[in-house]
Parts: sequence; C-alpha cells; structure tokens
Amino acid sequence: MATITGVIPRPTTYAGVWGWMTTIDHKRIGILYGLTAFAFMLLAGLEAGVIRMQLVSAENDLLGPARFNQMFTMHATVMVFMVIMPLSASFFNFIVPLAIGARDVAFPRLNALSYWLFLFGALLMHVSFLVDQVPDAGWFSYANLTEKPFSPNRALDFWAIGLLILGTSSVAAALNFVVTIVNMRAPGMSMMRLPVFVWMTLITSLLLVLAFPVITVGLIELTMDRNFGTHFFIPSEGGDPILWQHLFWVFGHPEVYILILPPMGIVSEVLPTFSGKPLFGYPFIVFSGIVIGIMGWAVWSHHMFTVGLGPVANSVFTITTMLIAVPTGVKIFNWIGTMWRGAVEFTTSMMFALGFVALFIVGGLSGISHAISPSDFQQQDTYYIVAHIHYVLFGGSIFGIFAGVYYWFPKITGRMLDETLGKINFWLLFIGMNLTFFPMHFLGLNGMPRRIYTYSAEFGWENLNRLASLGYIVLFVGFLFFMYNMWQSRKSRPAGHDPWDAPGLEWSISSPPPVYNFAEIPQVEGRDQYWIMKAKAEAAGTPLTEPEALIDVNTVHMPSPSYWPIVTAAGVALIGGGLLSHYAISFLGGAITMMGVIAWSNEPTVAPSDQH
Amino acid sequence: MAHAAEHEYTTTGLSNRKMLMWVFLGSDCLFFGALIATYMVYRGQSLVGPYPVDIISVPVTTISTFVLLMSSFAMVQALAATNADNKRAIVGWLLATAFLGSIFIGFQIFEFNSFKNEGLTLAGNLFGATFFTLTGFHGAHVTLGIIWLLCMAVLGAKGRLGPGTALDVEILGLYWHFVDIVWIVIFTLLYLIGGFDAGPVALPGG
Amino acid sequence: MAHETERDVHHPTFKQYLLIAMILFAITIVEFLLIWDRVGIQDDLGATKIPLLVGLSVVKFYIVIMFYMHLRFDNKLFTRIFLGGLFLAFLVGLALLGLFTAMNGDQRSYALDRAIPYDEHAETQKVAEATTAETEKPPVAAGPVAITVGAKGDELAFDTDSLTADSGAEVTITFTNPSTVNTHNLVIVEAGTKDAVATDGTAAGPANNWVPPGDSRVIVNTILIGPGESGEVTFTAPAPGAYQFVCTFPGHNFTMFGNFVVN
Repeated sequence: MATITGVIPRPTTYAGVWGWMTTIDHKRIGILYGLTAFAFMLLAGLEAGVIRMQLVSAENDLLGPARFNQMFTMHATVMVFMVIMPLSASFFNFIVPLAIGARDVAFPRLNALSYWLFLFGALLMHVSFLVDQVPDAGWFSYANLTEKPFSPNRALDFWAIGLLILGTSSVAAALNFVVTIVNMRAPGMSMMRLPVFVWMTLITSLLLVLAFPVITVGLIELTMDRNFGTHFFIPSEGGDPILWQHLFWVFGHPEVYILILPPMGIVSEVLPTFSGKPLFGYPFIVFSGIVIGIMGWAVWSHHMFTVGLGPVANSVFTITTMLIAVPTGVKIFNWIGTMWRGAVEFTTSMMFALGFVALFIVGGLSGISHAISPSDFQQQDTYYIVAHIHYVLFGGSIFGIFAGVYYWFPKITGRMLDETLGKINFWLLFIGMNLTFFPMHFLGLNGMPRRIYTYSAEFGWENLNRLASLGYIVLFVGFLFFMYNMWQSRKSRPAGHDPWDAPGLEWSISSPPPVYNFAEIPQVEGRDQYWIMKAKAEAAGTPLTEPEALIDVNTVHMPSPSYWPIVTAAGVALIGGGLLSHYAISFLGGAITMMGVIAWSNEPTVAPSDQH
Repeated sequence: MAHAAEHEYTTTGLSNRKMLMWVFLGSDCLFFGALIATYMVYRGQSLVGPYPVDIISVPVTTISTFVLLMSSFAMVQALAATNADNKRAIVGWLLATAFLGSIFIGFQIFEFNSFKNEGLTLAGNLFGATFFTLTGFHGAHVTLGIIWLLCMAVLGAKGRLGPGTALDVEILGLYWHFVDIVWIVIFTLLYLIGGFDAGPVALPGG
Repeated sequence: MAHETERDVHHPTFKQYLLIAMILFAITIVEFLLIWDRVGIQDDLGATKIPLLVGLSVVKFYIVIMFYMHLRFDNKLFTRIFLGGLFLAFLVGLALLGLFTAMNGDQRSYALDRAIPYDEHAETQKVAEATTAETEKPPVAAGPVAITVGAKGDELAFDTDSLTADSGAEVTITFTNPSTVNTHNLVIVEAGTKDAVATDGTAAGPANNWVPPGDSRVIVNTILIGPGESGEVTFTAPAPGAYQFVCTFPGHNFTMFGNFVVN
C-alpha cells in the first residue's frame, strides 16, 4: 500500500482551502471546531426561536404538532452534541497544548479525523431536513416511541446513525487528549501544576471515553430494532423499553458533566486572572472535579424516578444525587474565595465568569429540588425541568464558554474584542436568559408539561410564555452584538501577547501563536508559570514585555499535513449514509475507510525533509 | 504504524501509542460491558424458542475457545520473535496467530449457520437478538484483528519488523489479547452458565 | 529519557509462555468437565458451579492480562487505566442487573405481563372466557347473532365505531387484532362509563385482562388479544339501550371505543 502514498504526493501547503482541509495543526482544528459549532449554534438558536414563536400565545397554529416535535428534538440534539461539546473541544484543541507547553497534541492526524467526523456526522443528521424526515422523538428518544410502528420513516435512523458518527468523533478526540495531557506536558509540569482548565479537560476526556461506548451500544440496538427486526425495546416480544432509558442515562449523566466541566475549567482560569491572585484552594478544585467525574456514574437513575424503579432504587439515587452537590459547592466556594480581597477587574470575560457562577447556582438549586424523588414526581416532564436544564447549560456552559471566548480571543486572533460591545453583549444575554428561563420555573410548577406544541388559554400560562418569548428576542439581539463584535475585531487594535497579565504559559508566546507554538519547550517551575516568569524577570530588573522570539519554521520538525484524516472520515460518513439509503454505498464507504487507514499508517508523521 | 523513528520525548517516558491503546481498551470494556449487560438482563426473557439449551453446543465452542487461547500464545511468540529480530519467526508466528483467529471465525460462521437452521434469528426472540449482537461484535473485533495481523505479516515479510518496531507488534498484541479475554467472559456467561437456560420463565398471570 | 521502559524488563521465556498456555488450557478443560453432563458432576455441584466457573474465568482473565498483556511487568499507569475501565463496566453491568431483577418494583413484570406466552396450544386458548355480569334478564328474542370487530392496524382504534344487536339475542363477537405490536381487548360497558371502567381496569391489572372483576358496569369482555391474534366471546344482549365498547388496555380507552346499541 506504500504505492498509494507514493503516487499521491503529500500535501505541503498551509495556504488556502486545501491548507485547511489537510491541516493537522491543533490551533487550526480548534478554530474549525469553533466556527462550525458556532454555525450550528445559530441554527439551533433559530429552532429555539420557532419554538418560542409557537408558544407565544395560547392555541397558536404557527406550527403543527409534528413540526414542533422536530424543532425541539433538533434544538436539543444540536445544542448538546454539535454546539456545547464541540465548542469545548475547540478550546481543548487550541488551548490545551499551549497551556501544557507542547508543540501539538499527541496524535495530530487523529485530531483532524475527529473534526472531520464531527462535521460529516452533523451534516449527515441534517440531511434529514432535505428529505423532510426530521428526528422528532426528543433528544433522549425514548423507546418504544422510536420503534418502527411509531416512527415509520427514516427520521430516527438519521438520528441514531448521526449520533454514532458524532460519538466516534468524540471518543477519538478524547483518547487523544487523555494521552496528550498525561504524556505531552513540558518538563516540570507535574499533574498538580496543570492549569485547572487542563485538569477539567482530562476528566471530561476520560468521561467521554468511558461513557460513549454505552450509548453506542444503545444506538446500535435501536438501529437493529428498526432495521433488522430485533426486539430489544419492544415489550410484546419480551424486550423492555426501560433498558433504553438505562443505557441512555448511564451515558447521559456523565454527559451532563462532559458539558459543564470544561466551562468550569474556563472559569477557573478567568477568575484568578482578573482577580490578580492565584486560584484559591487549587487542590480542592481539582479533586472536587475528580470526585464529580467519578460520582457522575452513580446518579443516572435520577432521570428515571417516575419510571417505577421502586423505593429502594429511588432512595439510593436520591442520596447519591444529593451527595454530588457537595463537590460542586466546594468549587463555588473556591471561586468566591479566589475573588476575596483580589484586585477584581470587571472585563467582559470576568463578567461572563461571574454570570456563570450566579446562574449555575440557580440551576444547581433547582437541580437539588428534583434530586429528591418525591418532589421530582411533581416536576418530572414539566417546564420546571426545562428551566433547570437551561440554567445549567445556558447560564452555565454557554456563559462559561463566552467567558473563554472573550478571554482567549486575543490569543487566537491577535486582536482585541471591543469591551463596550462586550458589556452590552453580556447584559443582553444575562437579562435575556433570565427573562426567558426564569418564568419557566413558574410555568412548570403551574403544571405546564414540556414538549406540548400548544396550550389552552384557560390554564393561565399565556403571560409567562409571552415573557419567555420576549426574553428570546433579547437573547437574539445579544447574539447580534456578539457577531458584530467578532466582525469588527478585524480592524481593532492588536492584542499583544499578554493583554490580561495572565498566569498561563499560552500567554508567553506571540498572538496568534506561531505554527510550532514554543520556540523552546519551557521549563516549568510551578503553578501559574507565566506569573512566576514575569515576577522573576521583574525582580531581575528586566521586566518581560515581549513574547518569546520567533524562529524559522523549517528548523522545527512539525507534523506534516495529511489527506488521510478527511478521506477516512468521508469513508465513515459514507458507511453511515449507506445504512440510510443503499447498502452498496456502505461498502464503498468501508473500502474508502480501509484505504484511508492503510495509507495513513504507511505515512510518516513527519514528512521526510526532501518533501518540505 | 510502522515507524522506527519515534523517539519522541514524553512526560511519563511511556509511548504515546501504547497509552492510546490502553485507554481505548478501557473504553472498549464499557462497550462490551453494555452488550453483556443487555444479554444478562434479557437472559431467560425470550418468549419463544429456540432457547439456549436447545441449540448451544458447549463441546464445539470449547474447541474454538481453545483455538483462540492458542492464538494468544502465538501472538506472544510473534512479539518475542520481533524483540529477538528473528525475521522468519516474526512472519511465521503472525501468520499462525491470524490462522488460528480465522479458525475461530470459521467456527463462529459454522455456529451461526447451524443456529440459523435451527430457527434462531435476530428477529425471532430476545436470545437470538442478544446472542448474535454480542458474539457478532466480538467476531467483528476478531476479524479486524486478523486484517491487522495480515498487514503486519506483509510488513514482516518485507523485513520492516524488528526490535526497532517491536512496539507496533506489541500494540497489535494488546488488542489481540483483549479480544481473547472478552471471549473468556463471553464463553463463561453465554455458554458455560447461560448455555443451559431453557424455556420462558413463568409469566405472572399467563 | 527512556523510550520504552518495558523493553528493559525481562519478558517470560518461551518455556514460561508455554507453561502459561498449558495452564489456560487446563482451566478451560476443567470448566468444560464441570458442566458436561456425561461427567456427571454438574448435578452434584448444583448452583455452586456458577461461582466456581466465574472464579476459574477470572483466573484465566488475570493470567492473560498479567502475562500475555504483560501488565505485571509494565508501568502501573497502564494497569490503572485498564482496570478503571474494566471495573466501571463491571459495576455498571451489575447495577443494571440489580435494577432489573433485584430491587423493588420489578420493571420486567411490566413487560412480561404484556407478553404473549409461547405455547403450542395457543390457538385453543383463544376461546374467550365470557364473564357476563349480572343484569336484568331481558326477554328472549331472536336467534344467535355473529358480529365481527377488528382493531385498525397499529392504530389505537377499532375498525368500526358502532355496533347493534337485539335485546335478548345470543351474540357472538369475534375480535381480531391485526396490530403488529399492540395488545387489545374488547369490553362492553354501560354508556358513559368507558373511562371510569378503564381506570379501574388499570388498577385490576393484566391478570384480570385489565377489567375490574365483578364490576356491574361491565356487560362482557374478551381476554387480552395479542398482536395478530383473535378471540371471541358469546353473551346474551342486555336490556335495550345505549352501551359502549372499549379497549381497556391502559391508555387505549381515549381513542379506542365505539357505541353499542341494543334495540
């Protein structure tokens, strides 16, 4: 097979579309992840807008029930799997190698494969719109609603196969980051000197690696039920729809922490920087993260209290769920402790981080109220749950990610985002978010079930729904300000290498970072290494004002670009597409995947120097 | 997979690729764990036959289990030969491993066929669905392993395997042994213990 | 920096590997003998053979990962990574098994209650048992009448929404269920009571065919008819008036009903 690599010359260019398609540079892949996920965020945000428009008044007939089901299913699926996870992955990619003092991730081509699998898997699921067979069974797609008799068209196959591909992408990326963080740290960067964001990345990656196989099995069984006549989740043949719920939530609860731990890591970077003092109780934050990662496996059935698991199971899972609030509380106290007596600087990034802490507390408290199984019987499947999940995932994850965007944007692009626009952006999102989701607590307690496409005026839910829809408009305007801020940054002032006087290693190099990241791999002497370096230089009377000097790229042996990640990913996507249309396409996809893998394994990581 | 030039610096001094394989195997434990859990949860829940006791032949599968165990022995010999730089032995043991693996797959095809003829299908009952899904995915892992072994044997025949690339053989070996230990679990649960399950359990009110 | 620490460590020799293979082989033979009925010890062992078999497999498992996958000689980090995944898989599996079988509120009874028992004589059992409720004796009128009703495919509906009969006639209703998934029954109740009867029927459970036993509102009912099956019931038409027929399988009563008029 060496002939394949012999015939097709290795890509050498870093420029243009080809440069991006064959790139294996972790920084470029991070940017690709970020832009793609942001595009999906706009899409899913528009779906949310349609939902709010439909619910703005009682007995509205903008959408029928079928279309409404499709909207909330895709809104949730896209936001979870194609927005929050890849936005976190975007930061993993861009920041983690810089923060641990590495030149790239451990497996740069595998990293590219992860991105292309993510893109193709997401696009494959969206092909369902073109054939108007859009998934419509909710983001957790409970059996046996998902079985053939109740969902006869291809919609749920699109959902299942799209998620299988997205899962493969996530596991590949997570494997990569586990190895990168354990094995690619700069000399002196011991585990207890790692920035907290890197720690949270490691825990998230381990959760991904361990949780995704479980949902993979669930999705395979669902696909087989729908296509090969098995009866895994069909009660009339002895199967049990509850098994799907278990498999889904065994994955689904660790998934919740996969969504929230990276933003917690981001906030743990932002708060010390803008408080001008190191993170308070670093070991507690790290160990509480580890404890959350472990305990996250012992709480899944709290999503299933009303299934009828019996009092023993419900009590056990109530207790474990109450316990997991403890490490979360530890983190919050440490964040507050970090700001205590610090020189707090209210930049946009800091305000988003503060917003994260405040809104996450609200979401955490409503979470505790349905951790108690008797009270959950009242709240299950009402808008109270919708309020909770949005306080955690919007007020939590998205605000944390925004804090990260405002914090690292200067490093990624070399330009500053406008602070005034940023503050407007923050306040619009903060007000809009509370306006949209706070009334939902009351709607839920007043009995409004989630996922209903319309309601009668007699229930008295109309005013609160109007308020929620008004909040959506505020959020929409907030996002417009954010996009304008990004756009105008083309001409804004250069950021310099260290605009925030930050502690992380990533700030010691120029912005945007050169291809090779570090001209010289740094020697790490402690936590917050760049602060140590700056303090030392100042003590020596030669303050650090310049980034590390640039060197000639050709003197550094960097991994070379490669075609094979995108080819292999396309092959995998074709296998999935074939399962949805014609099996012959699957075989073609299998052949392409095989060819891609073999060519990949025959290709040296670093091209011989005569090909440079 | 085949590059001697990987003398990169790593923090722990351990190979990146070997660590990747171990993390992946930890992940695959969850994959097979979920499949086995499905089987165990649905054990004895089939409403119509054939039931395990009607068709499972433990003697035949004991032989195929033995074959797979022996392939693991061949695999460690292939690694030993690589470390000893014995070019012919490398190819020989790799092919022997692939051959024994193929015999195992042959047994599986034979077993699937005879089960099908006795009326056990994916759609027929839960035993069929869980049995074929679990052993089928195991068989797919073995098949991938055989392809990998053959690719490595080709490299070995070209003389590209030796102490410098022993890591490549070692990682392949880890995968192969993992497939073997998964089979140890499957053999115990599905054949030795579950192979004698009969009939549907009594239905309340039925 | 050491590139490959494990390479410096002594691997077992050929003889040791062969010995390990022999041990694995021997354990497999022992396992086989334990369960082979011709050896005759399996009955003596009874249930104790299961922990024995599990134990032997664990030993095999341990030998392969420690020697063949040389975790014993390798960096402890690999052992931790792998055993972490393994134990998590084991615990999740155990928890699932516990949730499905051991804890209160056995979910499987829910599925099993609805399941169709596999029975060679199923056909003969489909003759429905009629539980005619006590009603006033109507005057005897016309001869036997046959009515055929069916469920509407996989929908939760009957294929007709009204039936008629003459009071006092001996009526035989044949109910066919062409659905591929749903189980139904057909219950004739007094007018306006279908939802109340269905609610009480849910409480009565599948053992009573989802019909409250001895309920005066119930005129007659079939047993539960599984997918693709049919059953019949014979009864004497009650006093003239309006009645309803309904499927009382939980949840079906909202869409699956019709009027039964007795002249």
